[in-house]
Amino acid sequence: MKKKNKESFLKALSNNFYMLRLLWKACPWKILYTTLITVLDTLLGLVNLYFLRYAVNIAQTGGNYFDAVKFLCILFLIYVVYHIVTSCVDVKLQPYFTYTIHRKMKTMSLKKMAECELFCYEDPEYYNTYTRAMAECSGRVDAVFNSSITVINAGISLVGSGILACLIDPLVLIFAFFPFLVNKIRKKKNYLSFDLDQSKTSAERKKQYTVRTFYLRDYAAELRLSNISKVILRQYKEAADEIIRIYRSKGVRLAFWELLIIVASTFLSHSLLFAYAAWQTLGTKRMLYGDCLVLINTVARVSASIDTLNASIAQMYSHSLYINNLRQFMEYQQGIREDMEAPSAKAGDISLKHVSFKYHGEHNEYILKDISLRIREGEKIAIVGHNGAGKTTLIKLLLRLYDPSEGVIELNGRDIKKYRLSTYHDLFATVLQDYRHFSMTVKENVLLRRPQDDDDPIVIDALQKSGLYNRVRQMPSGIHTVLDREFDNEGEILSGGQNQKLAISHVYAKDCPVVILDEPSSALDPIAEYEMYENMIKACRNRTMILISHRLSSATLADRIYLLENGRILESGNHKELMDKNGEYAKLFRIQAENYIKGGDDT
Amino acid sequence: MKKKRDRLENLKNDWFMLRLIWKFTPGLLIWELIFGVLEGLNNSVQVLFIKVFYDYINNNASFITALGGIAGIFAFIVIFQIIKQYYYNVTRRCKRQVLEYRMHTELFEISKSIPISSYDDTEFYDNFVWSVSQSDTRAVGLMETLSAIILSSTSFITIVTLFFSISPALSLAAVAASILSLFIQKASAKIQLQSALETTPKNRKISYYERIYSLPDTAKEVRISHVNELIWDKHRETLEQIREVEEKYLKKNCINVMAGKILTSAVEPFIYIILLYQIMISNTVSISGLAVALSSFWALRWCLQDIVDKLVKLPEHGIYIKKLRAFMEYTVSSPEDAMVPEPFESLTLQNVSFGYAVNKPVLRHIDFSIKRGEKIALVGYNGAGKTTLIKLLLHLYDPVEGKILYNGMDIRKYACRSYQSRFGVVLQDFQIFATSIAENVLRDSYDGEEKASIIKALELCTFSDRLKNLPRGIQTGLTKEFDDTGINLSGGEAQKLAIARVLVRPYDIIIMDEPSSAMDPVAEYEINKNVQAFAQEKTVITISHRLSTTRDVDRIYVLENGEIVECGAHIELMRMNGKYAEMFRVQAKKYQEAAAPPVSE
Repeated sequence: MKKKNKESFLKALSNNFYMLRLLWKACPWKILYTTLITVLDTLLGLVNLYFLRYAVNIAQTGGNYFDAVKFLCILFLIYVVYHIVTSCVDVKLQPYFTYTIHRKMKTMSLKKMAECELFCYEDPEYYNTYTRAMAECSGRVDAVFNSSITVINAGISLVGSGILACLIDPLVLIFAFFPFLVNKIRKKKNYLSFDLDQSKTSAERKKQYTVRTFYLRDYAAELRLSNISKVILRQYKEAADEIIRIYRSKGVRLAFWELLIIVASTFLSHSLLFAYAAWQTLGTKRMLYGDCLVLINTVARVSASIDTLNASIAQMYSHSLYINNLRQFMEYQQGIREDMEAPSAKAGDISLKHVSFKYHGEHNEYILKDISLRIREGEKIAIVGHNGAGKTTLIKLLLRLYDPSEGVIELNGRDIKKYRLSTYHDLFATVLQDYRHFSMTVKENVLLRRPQDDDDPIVIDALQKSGLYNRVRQMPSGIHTVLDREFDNEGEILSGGQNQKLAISHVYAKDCPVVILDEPSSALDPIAEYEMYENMIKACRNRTMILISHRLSSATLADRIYLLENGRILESGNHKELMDKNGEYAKLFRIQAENYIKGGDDT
Repeated sequence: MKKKRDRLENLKNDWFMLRLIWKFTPGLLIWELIFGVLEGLNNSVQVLFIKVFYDYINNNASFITALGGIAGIFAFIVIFQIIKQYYYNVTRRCKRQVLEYRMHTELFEISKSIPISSYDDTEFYDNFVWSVSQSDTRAVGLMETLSAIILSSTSFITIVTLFFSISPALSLAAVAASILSLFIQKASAKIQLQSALETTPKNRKISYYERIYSLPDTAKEVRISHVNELIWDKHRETLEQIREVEEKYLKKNCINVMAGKILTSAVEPFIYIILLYQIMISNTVSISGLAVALSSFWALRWCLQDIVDKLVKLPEHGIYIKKLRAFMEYTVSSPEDAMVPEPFESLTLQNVSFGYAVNKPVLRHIDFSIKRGEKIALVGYNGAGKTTLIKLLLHLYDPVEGKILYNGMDIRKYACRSYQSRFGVVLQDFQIFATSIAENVLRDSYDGEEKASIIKALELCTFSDRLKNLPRGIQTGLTKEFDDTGINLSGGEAQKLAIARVLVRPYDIIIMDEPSSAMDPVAEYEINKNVQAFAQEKTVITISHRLSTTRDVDRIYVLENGEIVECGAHIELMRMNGKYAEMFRVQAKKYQEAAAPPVSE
């Protein structure tokens, strides 16, 4: 039991040190400067305490009043100089600290987040523990540092006032150290309080969801047109009741232990001390009146320091839990990593060899099964199939957002894992199905990279090809207009179709050998869709193109069509071959074409 | 002058909030105030004890008397803590939860009655979002502030009395020094506020840039493009700006900070000078007085500081509560004698024009009518105004010009909710809710009664196969929001479910806005067939890009730039050889060119 405690203490200590090391790496000056200031502050506080004894002594023994005044004036001057210097230094240093720490810590955590597998985002549990830990790491580092500083502060104060108390009566130090006895109970309380917070997380989550549903614009129409609000309010009520139930059952226990802590520590370090002092002065009359006074003050300071020490150690324990997540994440070897040594990727044939894929975890089923296909340089291929057939997952594998569970994907005959990831990504221009633009300028959204001044023609050309330029031209600052109202009240808002055109513009603006389009026209009207494909085919004359679409009319343009069903390739070939084959593809195509063909007859 | 009025206004807002709290949980409010007094008394008793104890020693009282005093204070602390811990850990937490729940429920009720067009009013929307997400914490904060003011005032009064009895001169000096330092703080707080005002929008940018990395939506884009470098640059730029702003204001504030610190710490030597004078030279204070004077001096300092801090907080709370008040007092003119609409006969738009912003018309002079049992379709380019037209029909927005008549009567005369309940609607941006499939289809609470119709509706939408594989059937939870066994639907599946919503209950009119854009062709085909069969007697309005899905309707309206440019049945429009015919041919071309002649079955 004891050993386990020690271990967990060491673990907490090492976790906190880990965080401090991160801070040291980010900004050593912050640590040095703040420590210095803390030490000085504490020492000045001790001088005050020492002075109390001095004052009582000269008052009792009738020393020279003016000596005391002289001493006090010097003390006053020291204070003044000290505060002038630190205030002036703070003006420059504090903003620098904030800036450096935020910047450096975020560089580290965001880079790591950008590297981590997409899986981390898709699994809610994983997302909550690790991704959140990363997101809050720069706030946490401050908290850890503050706790450490408090420890130093309390430590110095403890030693100083301890020595002072010893000078009067070494025995009283016993009273000061009584709070240690309370520590065990405090740990129990901390655990209970942590347990209480933990047990209401799921109810809190539910509550937050309902609250969000009520104010988010997305849900507003649905709430008005139906009775769904009844359901949502019921969920809210359930969550609130659950939380109250937890408070009722666990809160009472928490209250009991907290009471125990306070009563025990009051009795041990307050009542007993006063009783001892009263005994010494009034009972045995061994202690002088002035000493009694100073003693009580000093011991109060000693136990206050110990309390602070205890509290900050408890804080460090709770930090430790968070840091643990962070640390595990930071030290976790990612599945997909940038290997700087690896060769750069160049355009060429892409082939999938017996590729299967499923998400991590036992219950997950295979989304793709034994896929083999070859995409020659410059070839246009289409991937068609029902919803959930695995089309988008295939794209994710091609883009190395995931690595296949089985089989290999090769570029120019070499496993794509063996290329430097960033150079591999540079080969592709992609329109994702769930594309979201950023709250930045149109130009930046089209380029999706650092813009240069001479990029303007490229951007305008891309926008013209995607058919969005007419809209952009009317915006107040043209391609330099900021999108969204996130932080610009004049920001322009794009409709779904316009958003899709913006995504397509990126493909035109990026000079790369492979284009991937995942349902690029779902929000476009027929004319826009038609024009989009015409332009895209023209622009991709010398590029490889991979298209995912429900609309088989667009698939007819492809050199080769793959029909996916339940994660397998069911049919492949060009349009004519597949129609001749009269299989699944032909059936799908006829269903879609039926109405148009009839329409054709009318004219 | 204006400032004063603002402050008064803010205090009135606080009062508004207190009345609300009183309305929802009067017990909580009373207890908070009582605890302010109790805590204040507790502090005072502790200071008083020190004095009593030193007096024992000074007067050489018997040890037993002293022990009695010590036991007395211990008993007091124990009793006080029993009440306090129970209150803080149980009663207060539960009551706060109740307050939050009741407050939110009220806000939700209000929000539902507010027209959706108000959401476009940024100020209103900000107020609304704030009210829902922050008002409960603000309510709790306000109560804590009030309680703390009471606490500090109670302590202040007792301690000043005590202090004054020891050394009147010193107690006055102490109060004066505290007041001086408060003035310095006030000046300093003003500068800090300016600094915060200037950095807030920048901090918002920072958190947006950081959010991009942590949101699943954007995570993919960050990986496959170079956009992270761009965001990175912006992140640094913004941080640098914040640093400059902070430096600027810290410089401005430097003198205040200095003066404040000196006043705080340098005052102690002065106290000693005066006290020692009174002890050694004038003999007006005893040595025990020294200790009590010192501890009461610091306690006084602390109390006064706290009172002022909290008094400043009061109007600050008011600034925020204003948002809540603005929201709760946001009134919508709705007709007093709203009518309940009769079953649907006809719907007519007369010369309707509309725009979300002035001078940016989305719809112009729309004339349009639909009778019971008719099937019509709205087609046209993106941004032609189709979805907006639907929103007007549903009375989610009011037309700027012209009238919409339901059974010949202006729709504004009907009670909004009961009018809207005539329509079964699939919105383009419909939402899936984190509850069971059954409740998602009903969009109402499910008690097992309508099981058959839910299953039927899902069957019509070709959802049955998926349903069969779900062990909990229509009780399966959707989304993983807070049900780990919940399922996430794909885009096409979600659309199927959305269509089931309009089939599950007998609506007069069915409106579907791009209902099948994410579906695969087979599903789209089958659902179309099923819906047509189901809705034979019903009135149906469909919006679609895919002209193949709308060719069999009674009448097609072609919208362009907010105007109806063509209208008629498919055959008529094809003969007319206008916009519609052009669109249709463009879409059909690929199919006609590529298709082998359809196999006749």
